[in-house]
Amino acid sequence: MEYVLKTKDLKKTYGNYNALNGLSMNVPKGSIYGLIGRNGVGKTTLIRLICGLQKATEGDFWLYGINNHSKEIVRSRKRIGAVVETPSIYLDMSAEDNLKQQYRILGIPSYSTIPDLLKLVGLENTGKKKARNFSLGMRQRLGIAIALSGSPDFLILDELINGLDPQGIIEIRELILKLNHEHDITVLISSHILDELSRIATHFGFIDNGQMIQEISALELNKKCRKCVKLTVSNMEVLCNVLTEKGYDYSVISDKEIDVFAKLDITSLVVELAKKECNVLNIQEQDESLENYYINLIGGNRNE
Amino acid sequence: MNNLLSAYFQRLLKSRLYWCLLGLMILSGIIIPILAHREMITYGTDYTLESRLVWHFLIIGFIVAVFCSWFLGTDYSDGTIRNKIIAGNSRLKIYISALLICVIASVILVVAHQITIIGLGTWLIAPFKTDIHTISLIIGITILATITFAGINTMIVMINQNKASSSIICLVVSLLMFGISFYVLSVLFSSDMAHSDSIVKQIYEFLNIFLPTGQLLNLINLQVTQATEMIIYNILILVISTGTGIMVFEQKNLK
Repeated sequence: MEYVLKTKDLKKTYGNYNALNGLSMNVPKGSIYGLIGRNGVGKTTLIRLICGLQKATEGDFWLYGINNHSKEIVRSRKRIGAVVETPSIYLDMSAEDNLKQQYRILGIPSYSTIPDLLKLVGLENTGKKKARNFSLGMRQRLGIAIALSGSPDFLILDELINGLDPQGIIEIRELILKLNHEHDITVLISSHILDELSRIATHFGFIDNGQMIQEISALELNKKCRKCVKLTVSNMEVLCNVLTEKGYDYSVISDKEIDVFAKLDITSLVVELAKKECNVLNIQEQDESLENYYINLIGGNRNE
Repeated sequence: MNNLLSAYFQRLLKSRLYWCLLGLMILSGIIIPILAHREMITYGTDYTLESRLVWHFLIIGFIVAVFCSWFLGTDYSDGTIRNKIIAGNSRLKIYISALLICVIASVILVVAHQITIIGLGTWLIAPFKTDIHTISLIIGITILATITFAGINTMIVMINQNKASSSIICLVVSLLMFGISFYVLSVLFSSDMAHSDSIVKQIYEFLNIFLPTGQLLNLINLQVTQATEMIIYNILILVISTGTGIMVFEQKNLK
């Protein structure tokens, strides 16, 4: 698999405080990578290191295969766009003027693509209105437009959806999906709004105390969080035969427990099992959300 | 670095504060000779163009402090300095381009005032009575002091991430430098120092010429006897402040 970003044992210390404590992660090309963690666990610090705003105390990261200790890392950042915490925009300028500034910084000679960029983020009708008078959602979208100015193929969005109203969240979500699907942009998005991340991310990284607790693809996570009915029975063999006959998907957990991934007709199943002298001892519906998964993961980690 | 400078110039041209400062400098360059001309006609006062030209030496430090702290501080307050780094510019390039824009913009403010007052003053007051070499030297050192002020203020703003505190520090530093220079000058002119040859007097004399504010106060009296020292000290301060600024900015954790 090709990775846009890899980090290995990355550490960042502020005085005696370890913001990052040997973090290793891999962001696959073409993915929407959701970086999940509580406030203060090191998400923004990690992003600051990648963007060059701060330097790592120890460890390495590779951006498009270029190591952070190499001089070429500065140039490799030309391929990324980022919105770190708050959008970086001149408040006393219009959306168009803000983009013109960024075009100049990037050395893009023509402003001809600015209208398209403004349209892409839904700010084409803002005219001469100053960014100071924009709503938070509009500012966030302008921040994304600026991040997209250099046609990056890796977009880093830090806590972008925090503080947005539901409509704003939907707009940003659609924009991120559009950028990923239509423009093939890899996205690293950090947030603690798990429900929102679960809707868009293709990969997840769970971070706690400056360390990566687990990296998992959305596919694997869905399998783990799949809605199922957990049955505890007296005779596993009988149950397996019945479920196979009915064509249900299931997974045997132990000699008494089984997860069935289907909508069951409980009454007929219990009756049928009873006829074959198999008692149903317990039935439990399980529907683990990303939130539950995260809580179990982080909680479990803390208890270790 | 050309891209960064180009972006800074674009912002400068759209900056209301800069146009206001430029307007203020040009307007004062118009008003001063007109008022002098009126007094000369009404009361018969004997003014020279030199005495009217040096007036702005007192405010250069403050004008540069206001401009630099506001213009560069906005990059921190609006977070736009991040765009410059993420766009793949090294911190050295960012610092140097910030310094250059402050230097150019500040020099334009000072030169605009000088051109206006010299042009109008020659007509309304009288041509310069001092020789052209001395006048050129005075103007040259004034511009060099302006560049030094820009260098000091750029350092303060670039190593401090807070626009409000940068503005206050820049103004306080300017005020402090002027205060020290006024004090030093008053001590040097006092009767105690007149015939002294002590090391204390040498220190005062050094401070009098070392600080750009002291240099400007000396230039008000059209004294250019230590022009070489003034030029060297300006360059020295500029190099030290820029070197320190770059070193700190390179290591700074930006938010």
